[in-house]
Amino acid sequence: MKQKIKIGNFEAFCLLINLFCSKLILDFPRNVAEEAGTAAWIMVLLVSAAVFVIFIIIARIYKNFPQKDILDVAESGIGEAGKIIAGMLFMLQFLYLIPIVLREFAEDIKVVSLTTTPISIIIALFCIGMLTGAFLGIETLVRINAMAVPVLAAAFIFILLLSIPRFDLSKIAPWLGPGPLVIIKKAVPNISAYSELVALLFIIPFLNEKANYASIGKYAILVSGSFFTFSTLTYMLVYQYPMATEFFLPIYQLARSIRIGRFFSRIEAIFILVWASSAFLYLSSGLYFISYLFKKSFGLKTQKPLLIPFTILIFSIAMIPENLYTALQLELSYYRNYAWIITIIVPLFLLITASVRTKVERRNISNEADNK
Amino acid sequence: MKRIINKSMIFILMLLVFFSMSGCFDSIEVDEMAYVVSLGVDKGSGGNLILSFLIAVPISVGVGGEVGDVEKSTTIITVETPTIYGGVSIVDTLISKRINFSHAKLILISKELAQEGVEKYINAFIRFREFRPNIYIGISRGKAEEFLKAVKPVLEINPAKFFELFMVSYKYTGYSSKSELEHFYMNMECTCSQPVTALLDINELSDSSEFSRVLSGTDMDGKSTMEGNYKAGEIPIISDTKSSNMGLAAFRGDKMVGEMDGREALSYLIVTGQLGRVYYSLPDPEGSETYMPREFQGLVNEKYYVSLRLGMARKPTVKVSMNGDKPIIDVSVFLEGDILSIDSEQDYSSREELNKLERFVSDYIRRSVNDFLIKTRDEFKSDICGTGKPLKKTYIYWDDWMAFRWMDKYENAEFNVTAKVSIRRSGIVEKQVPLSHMKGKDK
Amino acid sequence: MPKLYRENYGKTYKMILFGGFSLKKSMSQRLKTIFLFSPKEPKDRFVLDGSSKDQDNKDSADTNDQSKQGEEVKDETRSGEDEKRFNRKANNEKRTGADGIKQPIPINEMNEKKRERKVNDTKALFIDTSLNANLDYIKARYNADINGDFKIREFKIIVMNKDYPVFVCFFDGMIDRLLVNMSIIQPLMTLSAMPVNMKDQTVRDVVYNHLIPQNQVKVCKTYQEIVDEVNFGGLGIFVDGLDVAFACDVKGWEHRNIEKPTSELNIRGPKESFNETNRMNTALLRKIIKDENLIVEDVLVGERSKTPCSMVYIKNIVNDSLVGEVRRRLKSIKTGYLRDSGELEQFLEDSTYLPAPQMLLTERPDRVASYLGEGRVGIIVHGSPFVIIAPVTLFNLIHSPEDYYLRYPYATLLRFIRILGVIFTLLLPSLYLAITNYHHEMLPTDLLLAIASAREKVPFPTVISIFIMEIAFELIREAGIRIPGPIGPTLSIVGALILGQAAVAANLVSPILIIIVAVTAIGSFSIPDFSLGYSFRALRFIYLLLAGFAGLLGITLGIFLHLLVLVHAKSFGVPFMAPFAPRTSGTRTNAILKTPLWKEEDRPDFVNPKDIKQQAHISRGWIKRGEGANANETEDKDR
Repeated sequence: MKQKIKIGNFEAFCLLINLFCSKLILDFPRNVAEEAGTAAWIMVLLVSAAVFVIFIIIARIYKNFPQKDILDVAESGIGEAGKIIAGMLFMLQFLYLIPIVLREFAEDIKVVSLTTTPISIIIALFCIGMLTGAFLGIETLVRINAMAVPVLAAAFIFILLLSIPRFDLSKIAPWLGPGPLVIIKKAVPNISAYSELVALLFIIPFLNEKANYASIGKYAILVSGSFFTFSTLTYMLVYQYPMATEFFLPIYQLARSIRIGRFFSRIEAIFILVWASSAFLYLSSGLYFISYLFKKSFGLKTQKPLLIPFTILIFSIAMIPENLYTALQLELSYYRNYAWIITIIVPLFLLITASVRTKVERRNISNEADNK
Repeated sequence: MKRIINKSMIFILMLLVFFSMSGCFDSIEVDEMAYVVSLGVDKGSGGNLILSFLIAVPISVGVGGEVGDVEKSTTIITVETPTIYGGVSIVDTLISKRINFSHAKLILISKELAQEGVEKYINAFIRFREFRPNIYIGISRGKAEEFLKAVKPVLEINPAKFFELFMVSYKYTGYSSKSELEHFYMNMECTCSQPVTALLDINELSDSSEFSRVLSGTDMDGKSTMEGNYKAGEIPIISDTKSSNMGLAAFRGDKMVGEMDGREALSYLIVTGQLGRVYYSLPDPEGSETYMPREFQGLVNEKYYVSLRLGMARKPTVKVSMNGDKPIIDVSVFLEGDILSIDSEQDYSSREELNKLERFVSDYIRRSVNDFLIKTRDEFKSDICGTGKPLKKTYIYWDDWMAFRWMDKYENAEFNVTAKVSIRRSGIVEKQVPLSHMKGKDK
Repeated sequence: MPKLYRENYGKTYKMILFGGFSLKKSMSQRLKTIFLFSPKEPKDRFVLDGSSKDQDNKDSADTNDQSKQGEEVKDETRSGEDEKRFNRKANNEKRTGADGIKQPIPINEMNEKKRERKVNDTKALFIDTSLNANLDYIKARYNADINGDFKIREFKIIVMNKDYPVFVCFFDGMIDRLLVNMSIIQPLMTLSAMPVNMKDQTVRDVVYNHLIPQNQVKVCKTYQEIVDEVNFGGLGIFVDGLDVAFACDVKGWEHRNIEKPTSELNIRGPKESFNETNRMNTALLRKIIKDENLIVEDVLVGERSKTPCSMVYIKNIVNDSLVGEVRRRLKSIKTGYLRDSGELEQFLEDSTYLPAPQMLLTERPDRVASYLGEGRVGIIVHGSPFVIIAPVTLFNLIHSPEDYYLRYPYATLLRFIRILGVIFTLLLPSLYLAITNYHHEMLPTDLLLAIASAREKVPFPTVISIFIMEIAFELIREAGIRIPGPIGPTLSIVGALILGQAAVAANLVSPILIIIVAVTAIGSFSIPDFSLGYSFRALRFIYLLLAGFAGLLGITLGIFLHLLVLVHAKSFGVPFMAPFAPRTSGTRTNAILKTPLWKEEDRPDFVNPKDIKQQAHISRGWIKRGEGANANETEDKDR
C-alpha cells in the first residue's frame, strides 16, 4: 500500500515561514527602506495586514472545496484547460523566481565568503542540496522544515536582539517618511513578498486530518509579518534612512557589526549558517513545487524523473544574469512588481469562478429535479 | 548489487570531479596571510596617498609557553600610491604573504588629510568586506606613519590587543570617545548629527624637564590646568609607549573642523550619554563661606582639589524647541559620583556640606558642558552631539525635514544646560578626621 | 504435557514440521511463481495509524484463540495443519488489508515455502516402532561412529513385567550429567520395577506419566523434532515398540555468569547485564517485569545454526502492527548461520546505507524493560549478550540508561553535554578547518595569531594535518580494541607519544590541532550508543572534505543532507527523527530534555502504544493534601 503523505499543522506552518522569510536574509529590508524610507516598517505592517485580510477571504471561499488544491479548483472552475493553464502559470512563476533567488543566494555567498570560487560552483553546490531535498519528497521537506525553522528563527531573533543596544529611535523619524499615499502606493506591489503563500494552496490535499489550512495560513502570515516588521524595524533603527539603502545584505551587515566585548564580536558566522540552511530549505521546496505542479497539471504519475531536468534548467537560468545588479533587478523590478497578480489575484479569481460555477451547477441540478 | 556498486562508483567519481574542478579556490591557510593591525593614511605628493601598514608578526607573538619578542611583534611597510587598494597590491609584491585586513584594528588618518575631507576613503573602507564595521578610526595630529612607528606595546605582545584596549580606554578615562568606522560613517551620513573621531599623536618628550613645553591647556577659569586639559601629543608624560590617545577631532560632514582636549571630550561623552566611570578632579570649594558660583573663581583655593569617580546617573535628556529660526537646546544631565579624595580639611559628610559640594560640582560641570557646546557651535559649526535627533522625531514627512536644513540652523543655537550631580558614596571612609584636629583645640 | 516447553519451542517446530502438507496441493502454482517473473517485493511500509490498528487487533486475537486450541489438540496432526492454514489465511487477509486487492505473495514468503519443501524429506520422517531402526537412523544421522561427543546409552526398562529395550542419546557437554543420571536414567531403570497401578495404561503413558520425572518432556513424532532437541542440549529417549520418542530438556552446558555491563557502564542503577543464554536473558527480563502480558515469542533463525531468537513485548501495550512487522521480518530471514544480534540487526534494518543505526543494541535488562514498557519490541538472540530494541529514534540513541536513575537537573545537564559531544564529534574538526581556511575573521585576533605562529613551521595544509591526526587517532582506537591485554600499556604510551608530543615536536601538526583532535575524540566517547558513535566518527571525515571544499557553506550543505537523510529514515515504520520531525502530538517527553519523572505521563506516541498513559496524571499521590493519607489507608487495607 502506498503510504499517504501527511503533513501536520506545525510542519506546514514552518514550511510557509521559511518560504516567506528567506527573503529577509536577502535584500528585503533594504528594498522596503528604499521604497518607503523611514516609514518602511509601517509599509511592511500594512502589506502584512492586507495579505492577512486577502487570505481570510481566500480561506472563506476555499471552504467550498475541501481537500482540493488550487489546480483542482481551477479544473472544477474552468475545466481541464484551466487546470493546465493555472498550473503552468504557477509553475512558471516559480521557475522564474527560484533561479533568481538561487543566483542571489550564491552571489551573496560569493561576496561575503567565497570570493574567488566561480559562481557556477557555488550554484552547483546549492543545486545538490536542492535536488536531494526535492528528491526525498514533500514529507521529508516539511519535516526538516519543522526541525530547522525554529532553530533558524531563534538564531535570527538572536541577531536582532543583540542589535538592541544600538537602537536609536530618531533614526526612524520622520515617522511617515514619504507620506501615506506613497506608502500605500508602494505597498501594493510589495504584496509579492507573500507570493509564496500560493504554496499552501498546493499542499492542502496532503494535510492530515487535524491540520487546518486556514489557521496555518493565518498564523504563518502573522508570524512572518511580525518577522518582516521587526527585522525591518531593527535594521532601520540601527541604520538610518539614506544609509539603510546602501547595504545589499542588510541583516548580514547587522550581524557583522554586533560587538559585545572584545571576544563576542564576530557572530556573522551564525548568520552564514542560518542563511545557507534557509536557502537550502527554500530552494528544495521550490524545486519540489515546480516538479509537482508540472506533474499535477499534466496528470503524470510520478515526478521524480522531472527533478534532474528541472534542476539543470534552474541552474542554466540562474547563470543567465550577467551580474549581481541584473539579478537583483530581475527580481525587484519585474518579479516583485507583478508576482502578486499571479500568486494572490489569480487564485482568488479561480476560486470565485469555481464557486460560482458549482453554485450554478447545483442550481441547475435542483432546477432539473424540480422540473422533473 | 552490481548496480549499487556502479551507482556508488559514479557518485564518487562525480564528487571527485566536482572537488577537483573547484580545487578549494578560496582556501587559504592562516599562515599564508599577513594580518594588518593598523593602516595609516597620510597625504603624499601630488594627490597621492602614503599608506603605512602595521603588520603583526605572528612568530614573534609566539604560542604556548614560548615568549614572544615584543620588539619584533610588528613591522611597518610604507608605500606611496594613488588608491588604497593599489597600495595593498604593491605591498603584496614586496612581502611573501597576502595582505589581509580582517583583523585590522585601527585606521589612522592624518589631520592634514582629514581637513580636506575623508569621504572617499571611508567609502572605500565601508565597501570592502575585510574591514570590519567596528574597526577603530582615529585622526593623527602629526603623520600617521610616525604614529604607527611610535607604537610600541609594552604591556602586551600582541599589537592587535594593544589597539583594541587602547581605543576603548575612554570608558574609564573619559578623554576620548567611541570611534568606530561604521559609527563614524553613520554620523557622517546623518541629517541630524556629525561625526567625531579619537585624536591620536606621539608624545615626543624624553625628560621631565621638558614638561613646561606642553603645559599649554588651561581649565575654564583660564588659570589652572586640570588633568584633562590636554590634547594627544601635548601631555606631560614620559613612557616607552610614545603613542597617546586624548581628545577628539570634530568633523563637519567629512571634513575635520577642529580639535577638542580631554575635558571637552568628557563633556561630549556627558552630552551624548556615553560616559563610563571616570576619575574626575575639580577644585575644592572649601574656603568659600558664601557659595556663589559665578564669583567663585577668585575664592577657590587652588591648592586643594576634590577627586570624584563620576558616572551617568541617567541618560541625558536633550530637548529642542524652535524660537523662530533659532533652535533652543535644553540639555539636562544627571550624574552621580563617589568621593575618591578630598585635599582640604573640609568635612563633607554632613548633609548640608554634601549638598554644597554637590551644587559646586554640578555648577562646575554645567559650565564645562556649556562651554563645550558653545565651542561646537561657534568654532566647529557642527552638531557633533546629535542634538538634532529630538527635533527630527517631531517631523512627520521626510521632505519637510530635509527642507528644514538642521545643519545650518545649528549655528544659531542657544543652549540651556542644567546639570545635577549627586554624590552617592565616599569610598570606604565615611568621614575624615583632619590632622589639625590631632593637635588639640583651644578651648 | 509440560507447558513451558511447549510454549517455547513447540509451535515453531510444528510449523516447520507440517508446513509441507498443505503446500503440495499448490505445486503448479508455485512452479508458476518460480518460473515466471516474480514481482518485486513491495516494501511493506507499515503505517502505525488508527485505521489498520483495529483490524490487526482482531487478527492477532483470532490467532491467539487458535493457538490455544492448537495446544489442546496438540498431538493430532490435522489440527496443526489447520492452524497453519488459518495463519496463512489470516496473513493473506492482512496483506490484502485496506485496499482490498489481493497482492502477490512476497518473495521471502515464497522462498520460505521452497525451503520447507526442500528439507521436507527428512522432516516428515516418522519415528519407527522398532528400536533398532531408530537406533540405526540416529546413528546414521549423527554419524555416531565419528562424532566424538555424541553419546548413546542403551539399557532396558520394565513396564508391567515386560522388558523394553531403551536407548538415550545426547551430546556430551551440552547436558547436565548429574541430572541425566539421577533424574532420567535412574528412574527409568529402577522406578519401572516399582509396583504402580499401571493397568489400562499403554507403555507410552507409563513412561510419560511415571518414569521420567522431568519438568520439560516433549513427545516427538518425527526424527526431526527429536534431532532439533538433542542438538540444543536435549536428551532423546527411544523406547522399543513406541512410535514416539521423548525429548527431555536437560541443558547443562557451560556458560558465562551474569556479570556487570561492559559497554554501557553506569554508576547508579542495576548492574546486571545479559549473557549469551537465551533463557537466562528472558528470565532477567521477567525478573524485572513481573507481568504475564510480557510475551516471549520464539523464532528460529538460521537454516543451520537454528539460533533461537525471542521477540519480547508486553502484549497489552505494544502496537500489534509493530509486532506483526517484527515477526514478519524475523521469519523471512533466510540465512545459514546467525551468530549474534549484530548480524540480526543487519538483516532487519530498514536501510543498509543510512548513516545511523536503526535499532538499539543494549546489554542491560533494565533498559530493555523500560523500552518494553514504552511499547517497543525487543529481540533476544541466543548466543549474544546484546538485545535488539526496535523501533528507536535518534534521540533514544543518545540517551543513557543512567538518565532515568539520576535526578532531573543532573540528567538534563548530562543530556546537553552529550549533545555537545555529538556536535563536537561531527563538526569540530571541520569547523576548525573551515574557519582557519575560509573565515579567518571569525577567530579572535589573539587566537588567530597564535594559530598562525604555531602553523609557521608545519609543512602540511590544515586539511592534511587534520586527516593525519584523525587517522592516527582512529588507528590507536582500533588497535586499542584488538590489542592483546598484556601489550595494552605499550599502545597507550606509543599513542600518547604520537598524538601528543612527537607530532608537535616534529612540526607535523600544530598544537592547537592536537586539542581539536583530542576534544573530538573525547566527544565521540560521550555518545552512549556504540553504533551511533561509529556513524558520527565516519561522517566527520565527510564533513572535513566538505569544509575543506567550501568552508561553512560546505558544512551547511553537509548538515542539510545529513538531516534530510535522517528525517527521511524510518525504524520499523517510526520516523527516525520523531518526535521532532514529524512533530508528534502529545507531550514531547524525553527527546532532548529530560522531563521530571512524575511528568512522564505518556508513552512516546510515535510508537503508537495501545495504552498511551504511562502513569497517572498525578503520579505522586501525596502532593494532594489529604488524599495522600487516604491513599496510604487504602494501601494498608489491601495489605
